[in-house]
Amino acid sequence: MSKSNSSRGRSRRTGPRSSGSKQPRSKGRRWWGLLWRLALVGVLVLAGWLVYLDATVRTKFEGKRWAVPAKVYARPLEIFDGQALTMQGLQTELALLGYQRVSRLEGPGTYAIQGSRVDLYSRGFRFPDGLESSQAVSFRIDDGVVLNFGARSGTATYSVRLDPLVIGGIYPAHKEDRVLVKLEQVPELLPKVLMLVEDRNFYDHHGIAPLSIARALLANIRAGRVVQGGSTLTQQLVKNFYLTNERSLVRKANEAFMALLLDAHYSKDEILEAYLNEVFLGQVGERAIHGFGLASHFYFGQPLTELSTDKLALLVGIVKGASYFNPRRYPDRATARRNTVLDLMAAEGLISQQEAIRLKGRPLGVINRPSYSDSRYPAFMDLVREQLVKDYQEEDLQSEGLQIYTTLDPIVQEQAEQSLREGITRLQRGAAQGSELQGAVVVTGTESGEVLALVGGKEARYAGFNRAMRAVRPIRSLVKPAIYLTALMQPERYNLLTPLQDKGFLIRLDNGQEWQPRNYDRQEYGEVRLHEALTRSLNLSTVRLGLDLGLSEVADTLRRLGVERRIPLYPSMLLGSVNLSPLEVAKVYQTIASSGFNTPLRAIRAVTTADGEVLSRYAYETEQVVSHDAVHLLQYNMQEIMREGTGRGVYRRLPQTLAVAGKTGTTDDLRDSWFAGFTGNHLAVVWLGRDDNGPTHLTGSTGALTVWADLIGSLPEYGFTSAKPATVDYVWVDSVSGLRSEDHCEGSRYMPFIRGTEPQELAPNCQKGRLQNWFRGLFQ
Amino acid sequence: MRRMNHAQSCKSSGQPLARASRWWLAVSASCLLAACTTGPYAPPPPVIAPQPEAPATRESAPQTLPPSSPTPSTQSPSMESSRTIARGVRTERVQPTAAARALIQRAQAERRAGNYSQAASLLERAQRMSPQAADVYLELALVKAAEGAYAQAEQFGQKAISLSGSDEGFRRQTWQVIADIREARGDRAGAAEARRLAARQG
Repeated sequence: MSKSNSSRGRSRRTGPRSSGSKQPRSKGRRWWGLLWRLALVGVLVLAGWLVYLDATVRTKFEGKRWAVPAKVYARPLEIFDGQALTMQGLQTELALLGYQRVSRLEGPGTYAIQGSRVDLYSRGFRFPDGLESSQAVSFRIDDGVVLNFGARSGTATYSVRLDPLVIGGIYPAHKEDRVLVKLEQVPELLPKVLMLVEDRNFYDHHGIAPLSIARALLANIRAGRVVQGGSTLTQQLVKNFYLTNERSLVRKANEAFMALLLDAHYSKDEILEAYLNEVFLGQVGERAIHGFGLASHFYFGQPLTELSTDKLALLVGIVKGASYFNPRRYPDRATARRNTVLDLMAAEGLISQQEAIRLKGRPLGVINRPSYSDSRYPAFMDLVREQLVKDYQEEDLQSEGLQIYTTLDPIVQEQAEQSLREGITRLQRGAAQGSELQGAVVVTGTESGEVLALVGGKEARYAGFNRAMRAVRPIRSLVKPAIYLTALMQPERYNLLTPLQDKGFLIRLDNGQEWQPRNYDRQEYGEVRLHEALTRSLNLSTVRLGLDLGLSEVADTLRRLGVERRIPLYPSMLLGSVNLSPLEVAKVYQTIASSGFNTPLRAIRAVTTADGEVLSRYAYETEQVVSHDAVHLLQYNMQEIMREGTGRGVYRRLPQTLAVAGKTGTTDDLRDSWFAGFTGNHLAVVWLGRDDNGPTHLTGSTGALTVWADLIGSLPEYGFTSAKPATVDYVWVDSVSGLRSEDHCEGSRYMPFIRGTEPQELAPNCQKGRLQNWFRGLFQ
Repeated sequence: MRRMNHAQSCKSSGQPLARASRWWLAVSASCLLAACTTGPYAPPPPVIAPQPEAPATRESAPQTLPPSSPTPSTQSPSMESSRTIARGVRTERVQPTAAARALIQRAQAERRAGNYSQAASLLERAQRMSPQAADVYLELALVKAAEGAYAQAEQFGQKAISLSGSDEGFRRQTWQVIADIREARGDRAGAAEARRLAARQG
């Protein structure tokens, strides 16, 4: 088209020029010639302009229509028999997901609770590993465990996966956001109501409706101001999609031409679908809410497919002016507008008069806070971004509509935030140290290495300094398990009963300085057993042990466990002058919790395209770095810490029956308070301290441990159980002499030994053998 | 010996047993956990009732506890507390929950169809459900081996061993798998060592 136009123009242009060389025949003809030429130029310009507009219309409509920010999901909640889940946790999750509590299941996105019984109708979701269809299930939650899981409809299954919570997006600077919908997915009523209200003849006109423009013009002239818009949906789309907000005749003309072109090129359905996704429906801060898909989440916390008629009417109503009819700010205006739409619907027969009356009586149903919020878990998002930018371009993350499936567990995250916030408040009340106390929490899955929660400070919603990743502090006694592990990896030299000397000493360092370590209570304990020194976190015996082993040996163990930073080879390293972030500490303890297997921590499971095609999977990986039997002894010792040692305070909060393992960490001058520990399903690291590194007057036990205990005590937990390696034997030993004992003897203790290293000689106070206890039989 | 038989029966059923040892491994692996296995660790039929991992090793009802109920007695290093400590140890091999077992079975089907990434995804879900169940890790080892990722396959095998508890039959089969993996990556001596360890079990 453009080619033929321009060639025609050229050939005609040569005409007048050649005639111009001859004598002019008359004035009139000359004028006509000029006009003719001018008209020609005009037509040419217009044609050129149309060609340009046409190209603009087609390029944008056929190319990538929108820059869709990557969408970030939490882990989906999976429900099955044996799942650790409390009723409260379930309700937290369902509230975040916008499920409606009802007395009897009504459809996807509803649930009912009666006592311990739950009926739930899931929404269904397309996961990277396949479609999870919507289904109705029922189960009980008893004592923090899911039981009697069964399907109420559909295929019999053992589990159901809920749709994952959207926890944010990765936005470009202008922050346009949308959830794309397809025309066939939207409720049937929506396009009908939209056309009714905005453009009745949408399917009949050619992009513009001159009659309605004239009508609107007349009305506006009569009123002396703009009271009516004559724009078709196509024009509105063009305006939003291609043009600026400027009000001028030129722009209006462009709009009309482009609407005609759009209509000529594309089907009504395509245009309507684009409109549904483009229309501006709200603003929050710098983030513009575009399209019905996102608006539905933004205003009602529900997917579009679940909206009731009155909610659809409200959304269509606010198309007219999303700011003016903002239902959160101007509920009266919004209600009036919605009711106008409902009346129109009744007048057109889309709903009955009675229905309209009933619906008009309903509240707006708008949620207070948009559940679809990108700032809810800023610290975790920080970690997600850090992992993403290794593999993806920032531009792609902002525009390609990528789907990012993370490991965040909203139930654990919410609880971790609460435990930290309340813990800090409680501790400040006790010690009166101003409001400077800060903290961080990291929670991972004990075996999987998935990061379930990350709290970067006491104001968890505030995207400030992310202490979980960036507060790099001396880990103090948290280093000790690495020293003892180094010893236990040499079974020919050390076992849990090996005597150590807990006596003061002085070291002259290479630089001439002297170093004199002390115990926390300034005491010396003489000869102590290896396990006892760790349980009581004694410094003197630990440093002696570390020096015997060699600093580089200990550093090597730390590296195997997952420390990537340079480890200074000074003796003070043995008392934890190794600086790590809480996240890095979690990595080290993860290796201990998973029995010597180093498992990279992961925050992302998979990334897919907008269409669900998997781009990358971040798979579970693991590598054995320490022998299982040595770690098993350490795990035993770390449980002893919790039963008898510096960690025993947890049992003020936890039931005695819950087996946990962990280690406290305290700076000598009470600046940093650490606790790292694990149960069967969760590993958590808590750090408390001040940003200015001032004293907090907290030890690991009085500070971080209380937060940890509150967190673990509030979550449904399986006890930690360490699988006994085939090469380890449990025997009764006398805790004083360290000799072999029997279960009935005074002061005897049932302890693990790497086979062949257990004491043989029987303790003198236990010479008479008796029958083995039932308990002993359990382990042999 | 027994495993060889399985391999043969699978071969005769039309599995491609071509050039690469990787194929051989995939086939022998698929036989190991496939329906043709009757080995001691073959997954028992799915049970709907909660599996041992749930109530048996579950230790608490924390949410029913008031926020700071005082401890009845302070702990002292006595025999009693020794016994309590030993609660954190287990010797039995943990069985996957019914839901995890269903996923493992789906993963086996995907592995046999050559969909290794899908199989691994399903197994990671199973791992989240039953993180202590050795079956999950053995199956992961088989998927990685079939994929030719021998180093990771062996690590998963070792992980399965570490969770095998007192189940020597399971351990024997897992060492056997590790031996095959080592063989496939050309580690003759390592394979012999794994076979020796397999033979030593029960």
